[in-house]
Amino acid sequence: MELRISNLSKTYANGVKALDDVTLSVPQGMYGLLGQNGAGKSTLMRTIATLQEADSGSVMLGDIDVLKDKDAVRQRLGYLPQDFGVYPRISAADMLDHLALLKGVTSGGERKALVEAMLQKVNLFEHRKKALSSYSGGMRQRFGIAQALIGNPKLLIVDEPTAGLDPGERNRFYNLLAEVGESVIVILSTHIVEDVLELCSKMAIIHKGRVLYEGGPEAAVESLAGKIYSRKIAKSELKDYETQYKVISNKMVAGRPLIHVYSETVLDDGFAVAQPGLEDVFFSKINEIG
Amino acid sequence: MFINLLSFEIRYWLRSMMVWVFFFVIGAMIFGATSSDQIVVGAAVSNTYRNAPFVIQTYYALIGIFTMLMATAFVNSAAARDFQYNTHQMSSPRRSRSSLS
Repeated sequence: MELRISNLSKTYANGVKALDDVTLSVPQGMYGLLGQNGAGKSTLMRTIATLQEADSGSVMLGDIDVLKDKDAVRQRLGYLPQDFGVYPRISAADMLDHLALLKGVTSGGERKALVEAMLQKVNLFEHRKKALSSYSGGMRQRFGIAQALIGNPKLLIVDEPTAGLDPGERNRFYNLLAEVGESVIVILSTHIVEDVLELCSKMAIIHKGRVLYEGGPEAAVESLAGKIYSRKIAKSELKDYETQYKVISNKMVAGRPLIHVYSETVLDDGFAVAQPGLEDVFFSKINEIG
Repeated sequence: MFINLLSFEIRYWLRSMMVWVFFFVIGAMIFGATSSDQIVVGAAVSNTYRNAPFVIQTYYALIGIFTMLMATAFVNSAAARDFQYNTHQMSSPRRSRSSLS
């Protein structure tokens, strides 16, 4: 099954163009959506998850029209929202049972087995009786995945799942996701560049509602090989460099800015050839360099 | 489906402090009224037995009004809960019409 998005546009009532003629095709496996905060990632995902309407365009999951046949999509969809809450005074098992009921698992025995299997899968079984409101960020996120996996979804949408997780929890979460992602379509949105490189075989960069790049992350990195130069400069020189060169990014290293510069020709003058990373791809795309 | 949702609601509410406080207050009111002359629920009519049908009916009527107001609070909270606790994105039912059948 494949998800095809064509010419999708959405403008909010306040004039913000959240999606501008987005066309993507998402194959089975992990698919990364990369973009800054406010780039339109969540709008795109919420539209695919049938939680909001698009102005124009179409989204097809296999041969299901996502924008029209919402019930059919919801039966095949698992969605982990960017931020979600939980009821107070309720244990993980009870809440999951309730959500499974809402997803249409009406048989009590089936639901009980399903809830236990899900909790085992995300390693929360021993904490199943604890109140959800007492869970840590990582546990809550894993609960979110458990609820998204109810009903064997064919399409799994996870919206910035690692915001606020510590590195260890992030790794555990991604291992879990990679395991699931072998057999279904997983769309992962994030603003953390390394996540995409580690996990996804295909990705898209979204900026101001438009798709700037679609393809494999490794190919994108390779396309910049030998064209990225780095140099440590003084803070006061930053402005000069920005006018003189195509500066992709600058970040502080030990209190001094380290700039990455894009150049087709060889630069000397203190510059060193740098190994390009996905971050360079990301910034060069959104700043329209190269 | 409806039975499952109802039983979830009942189990959920029985865990809530508010329900037990309400139960206690109403219980105490009626207990006081039936056991003491100082506490009067509804109008006191002289020359009636404490367990006269008229008196008991008055209790029922008054408590009915109280509990009806409480019921609105509970139903309101159940209906708005998904938005209050930001779970509405996860809990939208798969087939909206079938969720109440």
